[in-house]
Amino acid sequence: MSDPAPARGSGGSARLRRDRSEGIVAGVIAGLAERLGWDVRLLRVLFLVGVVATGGLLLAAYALAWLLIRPAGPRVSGRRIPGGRRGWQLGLGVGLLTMAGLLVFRELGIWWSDAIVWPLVLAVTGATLLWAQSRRSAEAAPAPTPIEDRAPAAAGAGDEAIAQRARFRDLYRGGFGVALVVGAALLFLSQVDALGAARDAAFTAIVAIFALALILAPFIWRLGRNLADERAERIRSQERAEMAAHLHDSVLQTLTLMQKRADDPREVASLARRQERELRGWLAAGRSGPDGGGFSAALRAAAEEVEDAHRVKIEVVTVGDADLGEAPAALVAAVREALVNAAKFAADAGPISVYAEAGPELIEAFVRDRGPGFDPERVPPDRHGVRESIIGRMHRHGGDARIVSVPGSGTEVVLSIGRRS
Amino acid sequence: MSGGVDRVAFVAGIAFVLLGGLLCLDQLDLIGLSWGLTAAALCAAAGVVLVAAGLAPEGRDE
Repeated sequence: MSDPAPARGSGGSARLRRDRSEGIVAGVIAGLAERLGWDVRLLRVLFLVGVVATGGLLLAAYALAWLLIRPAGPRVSGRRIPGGRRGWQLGLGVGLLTMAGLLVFRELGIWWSDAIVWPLVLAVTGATLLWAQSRRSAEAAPAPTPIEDRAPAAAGAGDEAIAQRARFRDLYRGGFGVALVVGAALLFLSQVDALGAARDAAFTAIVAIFALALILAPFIWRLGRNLADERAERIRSQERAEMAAHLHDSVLQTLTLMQKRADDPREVASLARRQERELRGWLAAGRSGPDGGGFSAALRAAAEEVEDAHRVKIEVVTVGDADLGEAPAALVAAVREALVNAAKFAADAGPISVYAEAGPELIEAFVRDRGPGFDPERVPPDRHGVRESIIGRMHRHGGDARIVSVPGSGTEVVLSIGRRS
Repeated sequence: MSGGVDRVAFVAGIAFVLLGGLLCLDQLDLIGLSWGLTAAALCAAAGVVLVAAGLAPEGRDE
């Protein structure tokens, strides 16, 4: 079973471990020799004699020991027993080779008895499945997550489906292992004719259980349906309660505030606008999640900030999105400055509109108002808002800014910048 | 396949050649194969191929 390496004979190891550096197959014999302090070659000869004497049963015992005994120290060969499909191939292959060895021993007459060996093979296979399943479950058990680290929607639908499939697979494997072990026990008892007395009692019990199941089936079925209905109703009730709580905390409070400040139309409009924004965000969060930290989100945040500060209505439309790098951030800052100007000088002329489009190469933004307009050439030199914060900023970042304004017909600020300017 | 031997195919080929040889010898009445020994040979051939596939380097068959 292994190479003629000298035995260590130290017996130094406190616990039995497989020694793969000395073994050829899995190091079970080498590890046992080290543990007992025996010569490894002597133990291998004894193992071969034992295999022949037991009709090959020691081979099954060896395979079981391979699975149950841990290897000692770091892996020497670098090869590990693979998992997944390869693991199943390897396990099935070893099982078939063991089966071939057993059949050969049976044909050669080196055999105990069919009544012992085949139930034992079944039991070993089932136990191996159960042990492998137990080890896999222990390895897959996640570390406890701190409560603050848990995302509110951590278990998404995809994760839940994967976890459910994994649970079903584990259940299937575990159930198959249990069935093999129970089947082996029943086969053994049947072979030695120890089931004679129990067979009648078991048959009576099965018939009684079957009759009871027929009688109780409608009640159990109805109970199950009632439970499902109750669960669905509970979920609906929780959703209603959550929505009612949210409406109370947001919409009703805002309506109360609006009633108190009915004498200030701009304040009322500002409150309504803020509430509308919040409600839209809440409704959209259920479908697509909150905005990320990109260009569109920054633009909307800037517009909301100006809206709140100046109590004007700003309509924002964005198409596409971009990462908030240096160039998009400069564009957002210029848009904000244009919005502030519009809010100062055109607040009473209707809503201010912002249209922004993030293309593959270029990001453009248009800020329009319906105010009195102005002549850009006649802006006093000491006013830096348009000259520096909009035009100068865009030029410094490799972009362009253009102001189209005619006195009496509103203003449009056109901004553009390359994504990587 | 270029520059190397597909170990799984190689092992499978040898296993099935040996199996075929065994069955030929049985047909020629040079040896007597019982059902048990035939089953053992089939199990061994399939087992060797599966073990070779299980131990093959990653990425060979996937």
